[in-house]
Amino acid sequence: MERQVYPTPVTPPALTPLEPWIAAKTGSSARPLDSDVLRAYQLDRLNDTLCLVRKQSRFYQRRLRDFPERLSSLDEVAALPFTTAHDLRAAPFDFLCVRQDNVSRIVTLPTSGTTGAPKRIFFTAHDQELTRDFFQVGMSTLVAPGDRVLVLLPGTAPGSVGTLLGEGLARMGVQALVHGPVGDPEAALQAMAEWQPTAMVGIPVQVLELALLSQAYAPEVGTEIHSLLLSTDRVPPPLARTLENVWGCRVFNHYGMTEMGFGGGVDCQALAGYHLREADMLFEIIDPITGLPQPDGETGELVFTTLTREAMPLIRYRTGDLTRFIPDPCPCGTVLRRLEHVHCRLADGIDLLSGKLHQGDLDDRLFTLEGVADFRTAFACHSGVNVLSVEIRAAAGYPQPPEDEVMQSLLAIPVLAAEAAAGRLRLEIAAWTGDVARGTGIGKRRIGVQYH
Amino acid sequence: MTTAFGNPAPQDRAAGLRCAEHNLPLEMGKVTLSYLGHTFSVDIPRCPVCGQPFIDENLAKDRIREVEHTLEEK
Repeated sequence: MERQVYPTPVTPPALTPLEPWIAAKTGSSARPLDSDVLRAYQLDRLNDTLCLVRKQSRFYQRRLRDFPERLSSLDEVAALPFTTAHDLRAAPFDFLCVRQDNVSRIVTLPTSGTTGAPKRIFFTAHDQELTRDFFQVGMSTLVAPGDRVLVLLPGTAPGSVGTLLGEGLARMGVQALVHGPVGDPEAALQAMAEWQPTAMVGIPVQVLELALLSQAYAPEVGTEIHSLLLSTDRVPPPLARTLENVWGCRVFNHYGMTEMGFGGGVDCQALAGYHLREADMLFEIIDPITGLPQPDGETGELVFTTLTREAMPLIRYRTGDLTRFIPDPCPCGTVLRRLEHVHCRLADGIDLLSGKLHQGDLDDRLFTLEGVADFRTAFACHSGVNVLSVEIRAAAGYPQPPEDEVMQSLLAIPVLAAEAAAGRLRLEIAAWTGDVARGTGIGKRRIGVQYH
Repeated sequence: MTTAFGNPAPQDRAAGLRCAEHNLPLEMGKVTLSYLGHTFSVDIPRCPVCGQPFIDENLAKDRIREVEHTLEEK
């Protein structure tokens, strides 16, 4: 995959609004935010959280039994045990720290494959307010009163991510239309034409499809869009470039997950890495093999601990995402750290003899081809030869990219070229035809693996 | 009497249950459950006077939990 290369901003980008917000949360009036003050605040909240979970959470009563009750420095957090997705699946109610009556919303995350029980994350009204508040501040990075934001994330049930986003925007005096994920691209394009948003929030491939459709059939739609916020899945750089070119807009990345309360971090105007909700979570990068903390700037697995959540606080939750803290200060001038746009999910790489193949490797090549709206892959082994089948879906109004161009694109991925040259891999390219069975699009795109 | 899976037949599920408030045997009836803006109905024992329903553990852990999972999308 391309290591993220961030363009140098032309004018000094505005300070991330997260900094004054986090400073206010620490209770300090000193500006700019003092990192030592932030760390002292984080240590206090961490100790409060440890006290809470030891009293109220069956899981942490067991898990933390042999560990110190209070930490005297943030460095000591590295001695505490991790919490994993498996732990959440095994006994969700063991994590609950409030009466069920006080649970305002539960989010059930569908299982991927045959991993057993789903993850269920619990939130009180207070927890939801933390999210709404972050959404308001985070969105103020790109929109202001007078803007109209089309939200292409779920908003049917109360407390859905799109609903909370809409509520956060409304508080800022920004109009929001919560459309939901794009099930019908033409209907979504119609909504855009009628409502004329100046910004949109959505899932990368879904927003891409709208851009390609508008370019082919309705070039006057979307011209007022100055910013896009993409979330839920990794944003392949060529996909972002296409959006920038079609609508002349800026593309902001958001990173989050339900376990974080939906929101985690967001680009500032420098578009050069996420600034994080550091008053609400403590973030670490660990070596995924040893579990030890990585030196700053080294790539590893992101781990977080909640500092302000009530219903289901999490201690050192392993996200399964690979990234690093960017060592240089952000061009926006903040004292806050930057997290590099997530490289990949640890569990999702395919191991080949020449190396690992990630979804991002395929995304970064195939989305450079004109008109490609999406693609799906299946990886299988037939009589000792690995076969990677790639089905490409061109957006309506675009021809299928020629097979040789696709092949050339795929073979630009070093691990695929090496495997093909060694005679261990065959690439099969086809068109993804027929009805596109659209789910909500909330799941991450990944290489399909068939076992025989 | 049981069904093929050993569960009590529907008309037996109310057997032996009484409403503590009204001291009446519960009767099978339609009860509407709502959650996250959706409604669905189940046939369960309930008090003929106040409507107090009885949801047994199996119902809660199987059908209701399944519905919860489906509705609790992000």
